[in-house]
Amino acid sequence: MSGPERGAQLLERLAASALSAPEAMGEVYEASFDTLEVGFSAGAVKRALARESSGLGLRAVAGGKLGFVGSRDLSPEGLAQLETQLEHTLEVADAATLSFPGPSPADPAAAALDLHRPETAALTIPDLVRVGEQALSQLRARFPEVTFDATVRRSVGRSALRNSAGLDVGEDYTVVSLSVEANQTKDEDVLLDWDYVVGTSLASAEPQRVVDALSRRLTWSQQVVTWKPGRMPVLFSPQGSMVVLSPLFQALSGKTVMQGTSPLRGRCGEQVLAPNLTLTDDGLRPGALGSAAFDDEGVPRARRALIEAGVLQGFVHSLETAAATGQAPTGNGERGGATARPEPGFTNVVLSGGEDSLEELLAGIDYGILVHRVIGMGQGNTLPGTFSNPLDLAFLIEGGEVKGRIKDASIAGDVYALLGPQASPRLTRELTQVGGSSFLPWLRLDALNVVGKDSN
Amino acid sequence: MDFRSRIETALAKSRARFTEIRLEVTHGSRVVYRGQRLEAAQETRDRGGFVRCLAKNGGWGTATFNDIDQLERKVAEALACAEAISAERVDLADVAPVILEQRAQLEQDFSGVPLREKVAFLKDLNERMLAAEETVASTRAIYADRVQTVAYGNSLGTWICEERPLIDLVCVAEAVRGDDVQTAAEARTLANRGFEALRGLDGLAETAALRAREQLDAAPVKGGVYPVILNPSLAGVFVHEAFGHLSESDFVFENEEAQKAMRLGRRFGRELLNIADSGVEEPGGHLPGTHAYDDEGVPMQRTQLVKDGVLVGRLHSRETAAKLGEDPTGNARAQDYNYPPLVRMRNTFIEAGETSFEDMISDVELGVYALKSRGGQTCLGNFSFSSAYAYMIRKGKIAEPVRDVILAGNLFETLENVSAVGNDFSWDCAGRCGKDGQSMPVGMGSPHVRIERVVVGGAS
Repeated sequence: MSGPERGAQLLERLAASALSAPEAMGEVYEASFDTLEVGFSAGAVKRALARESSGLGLRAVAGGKLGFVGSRDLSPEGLAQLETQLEHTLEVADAATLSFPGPSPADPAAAALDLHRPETAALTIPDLVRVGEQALSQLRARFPEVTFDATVRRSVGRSALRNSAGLDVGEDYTVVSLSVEANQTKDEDVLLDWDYVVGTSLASAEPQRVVDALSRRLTWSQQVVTWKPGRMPVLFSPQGSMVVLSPLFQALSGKTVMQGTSPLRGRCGEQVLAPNLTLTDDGLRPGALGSAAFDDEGVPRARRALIEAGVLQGFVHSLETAAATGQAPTGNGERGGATARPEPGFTNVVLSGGEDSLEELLAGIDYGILVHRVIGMGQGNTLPGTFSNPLDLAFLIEGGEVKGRIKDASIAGDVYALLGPQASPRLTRELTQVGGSSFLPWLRLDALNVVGKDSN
Repeated sequence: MDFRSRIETALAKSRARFTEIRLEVTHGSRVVYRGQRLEAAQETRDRGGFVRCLAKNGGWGTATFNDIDQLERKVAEALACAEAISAERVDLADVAPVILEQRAQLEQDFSGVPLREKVAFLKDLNERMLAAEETVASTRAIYADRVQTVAYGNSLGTWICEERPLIDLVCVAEAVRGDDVQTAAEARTLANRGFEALRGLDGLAETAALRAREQLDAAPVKGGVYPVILNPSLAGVFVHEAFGHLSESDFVFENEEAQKAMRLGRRFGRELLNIADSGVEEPGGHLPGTHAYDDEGVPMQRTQLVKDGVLVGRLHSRETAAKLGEDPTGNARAQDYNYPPLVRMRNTFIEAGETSFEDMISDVELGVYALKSRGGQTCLGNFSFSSAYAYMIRKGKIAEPVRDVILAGNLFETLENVSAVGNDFSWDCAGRCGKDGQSMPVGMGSPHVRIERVVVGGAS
């Protein structure tokens, strides 16, 4: 039985049993994908893998309650079990006011998304091996003393959503990605770095970007330099800036608003960040991984500023958090997989660029550090905005130039002060794609505490 | 057709040099409270398979899938994957074939407990957490159980079927005072135990609430370098994160520099330091990393890693053991059918020493007493972990509570700086270890441990 038939039959069967009350509603979400993957260890191809995965999530509103069950067992006995499981979950669920949306038109921009690329679907294992070898041969030639591992992956997937309000949407997509990990061990010094690109096709993923980004950082890393702790300017790479941005992302989620823990709740219209900061959730960005016509609950995706010129505009919501906080759904109901409940999530996050080039940001630093990666991001409670992390990969900047890699440093601070209305962060014009769905500039903050081993 | 005949039929038809198959069925339930609200109460089902083949003169090809009726096609697909790449030949260390079927023996099988009873149990726990401290504004309470039935067969003739029951219980309390929000978590992972084991865990709720409130009263620690005493729970995480991961031979076996750094016979610390990783029952029992066989059909064992301060062993899969010319140790573990087995720890621990806690602390002029982990991470030689709560040590006594304590350092220097090992060993079995996207139940254990010159990162 194919996916769409299975969903329709399940809804029909449920309408006659668990969901027979007039106001009851049902929803079936199905997702499946086929993946091919090749892995390289120590520069050589090592393994190949084929993955076929399918699963289903079933939600129902009945008797004023919301129930959810998920299963990857789509055998006849597995599907029969689902109905019993749904009854059990509805028996104990709390009251909920949610209702599933009927059909509505997608944003016209969605027509241009082109999420399914036939040339990606046609990639074979030998094709993937070539992508990996092309990247690794360049890196090996430039850094013979570094060990490289890599994974190249292509997926062809389909998701389908159907509910008893008449909604029936589906999406086909392709994804191809390359990740490379570099490891250099010299006596007691272990250097570990990695980079990753992903896109709907090789053309949008641009595997060469992994080679270029890793080469630059490995060049900077070869020399370990001594440095002095203190209060100094810190330049964050687009990846590194996640340490100051992730508390904001948590606070912009409808989930923390619903729970009453977001420090930004109830502050729409307020100047919460510096006037040069604009943060957009863009569910319709061509070629980006978080784009689609509809979210995973059937709500049309959109392009929305969450923070505009530092002023809070709104949050990202799923049906559930929107209903609980009296807001309209925003097209941000995301499922972490076929059997996961929808939660509010970002589609593609875009932090608008500033006025500088990377060279200009560097040139303005007499003595400071460049942070690429911290250890333990998100450890501890970062929701209030405070963070404190040892640096995993960071560099000394002196006289506007990157001098070498530093060790044993930690940074700490408060996001809402560092990026707040009084702050003057500087940003590059150009954005870098991080992880396929974040588009971020380099970010310079003028004074941050950098703690070292000999600080007390 | 039952799993055994399906697997044996598919193995018989395989043309590969070596083939192994896992078929799994998992059913479980999950209940989540957040504040007063029941966020989730659901039963889950999962079913799928894993096939791995070695090409005639090459390496691994793998296929994973949900529809187990496709098993024979998937064996062919895995071999096609292996043959599509020109990988270096992989050899596996010898292991004797074995046949074993092991059903779980639970006093009160949680699979038979109705969902509403699990909800009622968690509701009570959650309400006691909310009521325990006035400052506790929100909570998260999680009950999750599952029985994973794993059927394994390989072309050597091994057939193993094991039921792996697991319960997780988590209590998180969030205390609020003004703008200050502090959370504290208490958790237990119960392996091979029934629903009855939950009675007796009532205290988790009150402990989480109390710890969260205490954090409101704690000042941020002043960053710097201190002598630090780790309590058994945190020392267990330390040895797992900082040392254990480097003992996993998949890290060293293709990296000559790493082999030099982790060469057997190298001194890692003073004579008082003894570290082991065990997959067999140890005193204290019901450890989450204990099984009769690993996911390659290799018997689990107790593996000594550091003896009297000297590196004497490491953890192997069949592949890493063959590559390094050592014996397999039974450390190849896979989260589920979606994943190949990796070299993983089982139950890792620092063995008990001779120092009492009083003697350990008495000559610390200014230091930090760090308890329990809030999360840890290693980047090979470098590690970082944050303590859930902590106190300053002043003039040999436990003094005021401090918070935001993050310990960081280099493994090699830090192990050399272990200056005392306590006589008060205990296990801590809560949570999982993550590696390459796979999350495994592991045990960690230790007595109190004192380490000199640790970098403590704080917010100030």
